[in-house]
Amino acid sequence: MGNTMRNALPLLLLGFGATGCSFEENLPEEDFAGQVIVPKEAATKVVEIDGVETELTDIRFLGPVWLGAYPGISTDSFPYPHPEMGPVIDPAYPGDTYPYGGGSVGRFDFACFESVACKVTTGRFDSFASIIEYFSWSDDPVEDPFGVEVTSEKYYEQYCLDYFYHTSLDEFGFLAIEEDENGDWIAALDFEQIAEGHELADYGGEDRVGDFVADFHMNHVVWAEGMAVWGFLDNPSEQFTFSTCDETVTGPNKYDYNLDFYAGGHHRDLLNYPSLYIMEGDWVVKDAWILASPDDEPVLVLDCPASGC
Amino acid sequence: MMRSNGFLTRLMLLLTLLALLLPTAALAGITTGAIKGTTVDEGQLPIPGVLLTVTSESLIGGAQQRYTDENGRFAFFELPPGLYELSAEKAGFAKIIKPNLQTNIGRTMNLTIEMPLMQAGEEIIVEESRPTIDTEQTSKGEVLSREFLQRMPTGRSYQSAVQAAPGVTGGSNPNVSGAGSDENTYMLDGVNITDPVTGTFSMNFNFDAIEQLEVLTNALDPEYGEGLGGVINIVTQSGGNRLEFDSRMWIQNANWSPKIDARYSADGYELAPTAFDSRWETYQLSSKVSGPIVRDRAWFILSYEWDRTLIANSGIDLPRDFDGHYLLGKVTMQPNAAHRFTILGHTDPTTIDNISQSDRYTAPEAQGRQMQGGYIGSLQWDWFISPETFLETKITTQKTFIEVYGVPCTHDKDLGYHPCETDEAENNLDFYTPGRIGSYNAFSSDNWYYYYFDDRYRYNLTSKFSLLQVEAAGLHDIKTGVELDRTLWTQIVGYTGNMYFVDLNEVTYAPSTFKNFYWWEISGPYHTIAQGDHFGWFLQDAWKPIDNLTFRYGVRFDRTVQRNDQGEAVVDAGLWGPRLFTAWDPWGDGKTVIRGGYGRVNDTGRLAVAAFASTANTFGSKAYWGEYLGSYSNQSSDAVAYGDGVMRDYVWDETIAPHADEFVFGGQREIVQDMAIGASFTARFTRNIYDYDETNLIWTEDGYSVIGTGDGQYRGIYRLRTADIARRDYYQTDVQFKKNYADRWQLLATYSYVVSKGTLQSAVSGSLTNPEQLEYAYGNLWTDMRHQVKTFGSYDLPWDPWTTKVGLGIQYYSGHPYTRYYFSEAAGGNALLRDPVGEYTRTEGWWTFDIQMSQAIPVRKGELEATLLLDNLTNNQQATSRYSSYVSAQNRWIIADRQNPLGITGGIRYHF
Repeated sequence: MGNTMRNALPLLLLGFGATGCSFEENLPEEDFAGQVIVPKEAATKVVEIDGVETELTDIRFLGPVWLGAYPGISTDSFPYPHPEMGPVIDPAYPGDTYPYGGGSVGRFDFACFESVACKVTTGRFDSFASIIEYFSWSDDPVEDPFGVEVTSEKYYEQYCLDYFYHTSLDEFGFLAIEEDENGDWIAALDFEQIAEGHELADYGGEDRVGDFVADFHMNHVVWAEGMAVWGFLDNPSEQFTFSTCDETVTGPNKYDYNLDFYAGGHHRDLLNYPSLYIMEGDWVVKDAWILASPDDEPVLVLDCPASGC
Repeated sequence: MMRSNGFLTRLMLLLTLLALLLPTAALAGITTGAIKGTTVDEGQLPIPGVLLTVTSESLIGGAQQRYTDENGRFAFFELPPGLYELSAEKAGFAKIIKPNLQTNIGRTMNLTIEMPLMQAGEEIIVEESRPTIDTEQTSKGEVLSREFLQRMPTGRSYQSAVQAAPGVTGGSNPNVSGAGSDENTYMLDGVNITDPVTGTFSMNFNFDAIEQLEVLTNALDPEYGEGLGGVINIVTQSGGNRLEFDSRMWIQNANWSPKIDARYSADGYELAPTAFDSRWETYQLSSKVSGPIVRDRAWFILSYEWDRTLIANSGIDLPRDFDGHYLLGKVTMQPNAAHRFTILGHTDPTTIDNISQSDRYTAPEAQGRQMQGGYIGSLQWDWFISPETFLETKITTQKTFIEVYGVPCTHDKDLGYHPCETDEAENNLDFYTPGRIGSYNAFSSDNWYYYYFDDRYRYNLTSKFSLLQVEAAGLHDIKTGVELDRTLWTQIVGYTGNMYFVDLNEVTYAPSTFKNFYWWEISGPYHTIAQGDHFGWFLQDAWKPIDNLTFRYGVRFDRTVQRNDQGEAVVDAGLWGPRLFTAWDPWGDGKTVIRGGYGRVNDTGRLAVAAFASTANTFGSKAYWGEYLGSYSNQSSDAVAYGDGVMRDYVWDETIAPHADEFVFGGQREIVQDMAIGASFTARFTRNIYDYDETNLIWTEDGYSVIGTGDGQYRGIYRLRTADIARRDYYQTDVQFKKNYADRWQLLATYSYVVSKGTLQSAVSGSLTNPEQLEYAYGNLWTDMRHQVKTFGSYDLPWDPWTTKVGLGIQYYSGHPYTRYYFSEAAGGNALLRDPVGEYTRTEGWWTFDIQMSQAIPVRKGELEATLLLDNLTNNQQATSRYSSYVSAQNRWIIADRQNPLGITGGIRYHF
């Protein structure tokens, strides 16, 4: 008896220990993962470099992508496909949409200086140098609180570490980097450019080489068969501002006695009133993905300009 | 001695059915021990017909006698804890006397008494030997005897004394085996006194009236197990045939001690205000009188303790004033051998004034008072149907309450708090003037801002039936019992004047300067109620197929229904808890035991869960920003934020009761008389813990902030659930050295290696509310303190005729794990994870060395004893807690708490 127990117990414990490595959340909701494709045009701008107008394609031009799962999609009210709305009560205000769930690819994050509040999207920059360079192109350079243009990567880094009390670079949400197993910083940008041979290079029968693709996740979506996954890309305006960002919301603020600094963040009703925020230069999903099964892995193509498609 | 098996079988069935049908309540804890054994001759052959007699000052009803059966076996059950003397005699054999047998609650002492043939000069043999370990016990835990509690520096409260047991950590509501501090079961003389709302302790208690304190941490018998933590079983003294009086006074004053060394921590960061330059005075007076009402038939004990503690954080003039009075009365009657009655009453009314000590900015008129306490009354009837057949029935009623409101006003200027207006009546309570809450270093002023009346009731009826020493393929000790438990919680919560102001940034108390404020209008007070009904039943057997092997197995069933204020069943479950444990004495000499097995315990609910989604449990509110938003011109000064007072939270249909499965394995070996070493391993897997998650908000990819809502309104709607992700995995390995009190010394030393992982540390939590953050939710929990050393020992220095008692406590705990949080815009603070919880860093480990010395001096008719207690003798001031939500530069953290500096307590005791 004793020997049997001695032999069986470690096995039992091993078995139970192994169950500790994974778990089901066991909720009446589904987690979805998929991909979004953004056309190359959306990431292309003409900027002046050394007095020469130059066409540049760069994922740093891409704003956040807001994604939702809706009961249905309508093409009646706007020049682009839009989630079905509830009744319009205030003529100046669109009807509400009621998403079952949603997610995003990137969001606004505060990159330490007030001059770049509401202008930096996560997953687009992999270094302080790339932020400095980007806003230099945009003719809206990063400035410190004294109005001095920030040109030193080292100064930027030191200022941010002091401001947030952070101790390592991967603590900054606006830097898309991560530490690999060797302790080296590697880029972890949201989007990658589709190359020849990529599985999405010919997606939907169209040549997608040069377009950009990113993974997305929508967790805890209330499952309803036939619901539509839809989204839009908030690209910067000519003035490099974003319609979905609200400069008056708290954001990460430095608090010292009563000195609140509001660093901005997106509006909280983006998925309920998307038409309020879709502006010229933005891109919308033309063909929403209709979910037939919780196992679906949607691929959304943001190929409809806000001006219409 | 034994009846025929057929008769016993029929009787067992009949009485089991009877017990099942009894309309009774909460399963009582065990409050007695047992002595069993065998008498053998020099050739180890059993001797039948030996007369065994036990006597003890703790045994009401006088000496008990048994004859050994045909196999030489005997057993004494239901023995109150204490020191016993056992004698064995039979014509032709030498009489054996075994003195100083310590019975412990829930433990069985197994003796083998060898009786040599009587020879000249050997009529009586006194044997000091006694077993150190219980070879039938399978549950894991410690029994702390009166000798242990009175000699060791364990903190003079049952809540702190339990920390001596391995696997117990935390504060006054301890974490047992990695469970939440709100998952223990507390018992007073076998009566469940767990707070029915929170699952925490509900009463303070006179420490000097404790006879034994049992902490069961794992492998509970089926008669236990309504919560997922440990069982803390307090057994009080009962008096005796001698009239005894005992009075003690203890004083502690922080002025006698060194202060925290520096206002700033070593890395330059300011300590929390509580940690330095604070005022701390405690006064404790306890008196106890006990003795006979009728010799051997009726005993009484009356015990009173007064606790007064004055604490003022640094910079605060008015101390928090804790003033508690604990009164226990108990009468034990045994009119004849068959019946014993115990009546117990206890009350602990307490007033706490000036409860707002969390900051330095509360004006005298805005201080709060908390009244708390309650009473418990129980009547127990023990029917000893035969020496091996018992029926125990107990009826209990308990009420506890908490009331919070403003400190009543006074015209006595010396008191220094809440002065009355000139024309205001003394002790006036103002429920109408709105309070002004100081925020960001502003003073709270005008009035205490809320009131709270909270009453909690428990009505309990329990019946247990024991049929022991039944022969059927070995020996069986069978127990069954039922319980009916009704709990009730009523609450009235409101705000004075149905509104309050929030003042900002005024660092001096000058009401005329208050200007930056906003205010809330709140709907009137709400009154809500929650109630629970619980039926419990268990059937267990301790089966000994052979003398050196015991199987303790059985099952527990709990039917629990917990309702909110609408009568809706928030918890409605029927729960089975099977247990199978074994204890094996491989050499059959009573000196070794190997234990192991499996058991499941279930959470039978708490009214805090039942009150979830109570429709009355919310306020309507409206905020007026006023001048607060003066600098934000785009906002009006009208109401811009409000709640409609409608409860939208709900209970998920698939909610099941939390439960824990545990596996234990270990052994113990007596190495010399009264001394044993042991090792054990425990694995406990807790699943489906209560958690409420938010279901309306839709989050960004990383959970940073909200991008939409399901119903179009920006508001949280919470769902009570018990998802698989809400869980804990706990592993503990112990090595223990134990020396029972004998030959002037005792020792309990344990090293534990602990791994505690999971997602939630508490019984009810809302931590898993952000779905995008769940991938980081599993990690090291607060109880994951890897190395734990607990050593308690005492030695009585013989300075005849005096004795100096010296008790030592040395404890070491490796640090708590901490989580690194990042700013979450939607949460309005640091709530974002990018690493698994608790895998960022830990506090440093900390250790403490405590010593207690007592010197007794004989005086007329009694004894005077002076005691000096030195806590943290080496004045260690290691940080024990940090603000986990804040990471500062160079990994520096703001320290929330440190070890208390050297504490000096003086005590004096007189007893006769």
